[in-house]
Amino acid sequence: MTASRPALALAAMLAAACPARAADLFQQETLTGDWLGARTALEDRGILLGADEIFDALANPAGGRRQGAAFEGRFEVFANIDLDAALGWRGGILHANAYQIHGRGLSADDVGNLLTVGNIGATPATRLFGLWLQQSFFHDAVSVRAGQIAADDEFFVSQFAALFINSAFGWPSILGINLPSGGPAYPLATPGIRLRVALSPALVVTTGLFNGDPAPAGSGDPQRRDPDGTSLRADGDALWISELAYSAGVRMGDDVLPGSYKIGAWYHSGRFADRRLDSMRLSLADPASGGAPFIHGGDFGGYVIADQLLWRRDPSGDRGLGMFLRMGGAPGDRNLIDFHVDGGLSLAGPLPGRDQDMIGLGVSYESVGGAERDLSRDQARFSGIAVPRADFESALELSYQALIAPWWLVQPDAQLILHPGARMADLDTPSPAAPGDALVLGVRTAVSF
Amino acid sequence: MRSYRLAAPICAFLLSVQGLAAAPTALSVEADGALPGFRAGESISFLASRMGAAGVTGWTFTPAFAPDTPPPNRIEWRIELDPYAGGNVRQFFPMPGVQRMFGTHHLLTARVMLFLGGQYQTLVYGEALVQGGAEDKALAGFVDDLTRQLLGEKGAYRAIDMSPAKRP
Repeated sequence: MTASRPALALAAMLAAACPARAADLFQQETLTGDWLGARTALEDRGILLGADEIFDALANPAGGRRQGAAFEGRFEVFANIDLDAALGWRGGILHANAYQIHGRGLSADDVGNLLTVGNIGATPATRLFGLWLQQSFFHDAVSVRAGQIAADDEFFVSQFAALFINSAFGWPSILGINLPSGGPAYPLATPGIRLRVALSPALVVTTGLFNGDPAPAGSGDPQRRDPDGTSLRADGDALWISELAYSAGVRMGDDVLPGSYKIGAWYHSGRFADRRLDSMRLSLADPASGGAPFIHGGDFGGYVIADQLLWRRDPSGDRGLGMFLRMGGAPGDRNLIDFHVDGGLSLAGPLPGRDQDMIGLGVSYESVGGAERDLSRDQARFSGIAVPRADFESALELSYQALIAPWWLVQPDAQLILHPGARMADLDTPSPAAPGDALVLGVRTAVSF
Repeated sequence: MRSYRLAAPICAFLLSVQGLAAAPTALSVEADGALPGFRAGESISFLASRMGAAGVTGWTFTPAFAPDTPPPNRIEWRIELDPYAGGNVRQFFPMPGVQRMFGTHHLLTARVMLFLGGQYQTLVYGEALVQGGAEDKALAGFVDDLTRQLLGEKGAYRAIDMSPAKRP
């Protein structure tokens, strides 16, 4: 009997401690906590280590090529090292991250759309992504970043579009579809250098020069041509992209609401095939065509972005109702997509007691270039088969991001994909069938370790 | 018996002097420029509140919103946001801490000046990376540090002159 008293006491202590531990667990920044103080000690030395997993379970119960469900995930490890704190190297930051991509996405086989319904969608692999050094000058008014870098870290980024899962709201189609291998963006970073200069607190110009094709030369899936992300190509063509960002406060009532407005331009020095004409200026769908497309020297485009907070519940923060709008254009003769626009609204703290949650509604539109549209018309004319005319792909997304803990979010998501695949012509297998408008439902879970 | 007769008024005197010395000096807090994450007026309230919680003794802080004439005993904050080109990394979901080294912060320069009896006394200044808003611990710590540097036991004001003649 007496022997059971310590056990009872221990049980009582554990019972008393468990709620506190559970409470702590849901308060801490990461699932694995402070590693017995090691994490804080490392951060004090300028070393931030972390990992995270994003897992998407998505299904299309209606439309698309066929009905199905798919599961895909992306595990990331990263290190950010403040070289000033670590080594006394003032103004230096070293960054590295790598991905383990697993599962399969819904877009390729089931929905048939151009832009993946999940922005983590990629060929399964374990790959290095970013590996770069950043050096700041003049009290952080100027910074230079060099190494294996991704343009979608800093270019064509909308603050309020980050909520959405569909890849149309990330690295946009005007670059992701048109550039070789999708350009220097997830999941393929590439050697490059970028310069950022803050001309004033409100005016920042950023310019970057990247390898023009993040994957080695060859055919097929570019991600398989560089399966581990270590090709570190420094030859070939170049991609230049520049962006001017202006931060402004817009007075609404008695509040001044922050906004950000950007204008950007890019140029690629590579050779780009015409989407319709061959080297003899005949349609590629013409039986008399030799099949070798006309080659354009270089490609280019421009874009604008607006992010504006429209209303905020807490006047001391930047959380509230935000609006975003992004537009980009490129020549339609050499690009599959010649116009892209997306926009939407996101509201932080939509429910009482859920201040960290977000809900958003976004819509995107990708317009197929004029040459591609004409090609589908030519194909119908020459083949005699009534194929659908290439036109556009659009996505409408409604998403709710619930922050269960600072390290754990759950995000139910609904998407409507209009004209999946944009009804493009397939010269090899002309078919009148095109994927129907698709409904995609699912949930994202993300955990920060 | 005689010694007790003398001790009482001496103690009373000492206690009264001690009481006078402990009476805190009221300082009005003004600000030129707004902190990120605040409306203009709210910056002053935040600064006054944080300064009161910074652990300096002998002072109280009251926000002064655009007074017609400058209060004789006051703190003037001059706040400037600096150009900042720190850069970003893409995040697919909000991960706490990841952006601590990158772009979402403001580089802030602040100069804090002390006036007593209408006379300028001394100043401190500092620079910090802050996110802004009342919940920003870095911003709160920055205000606390500058307050202690100016008015703390080893602060700039104590260092310049300890003679009673210039003390309020």
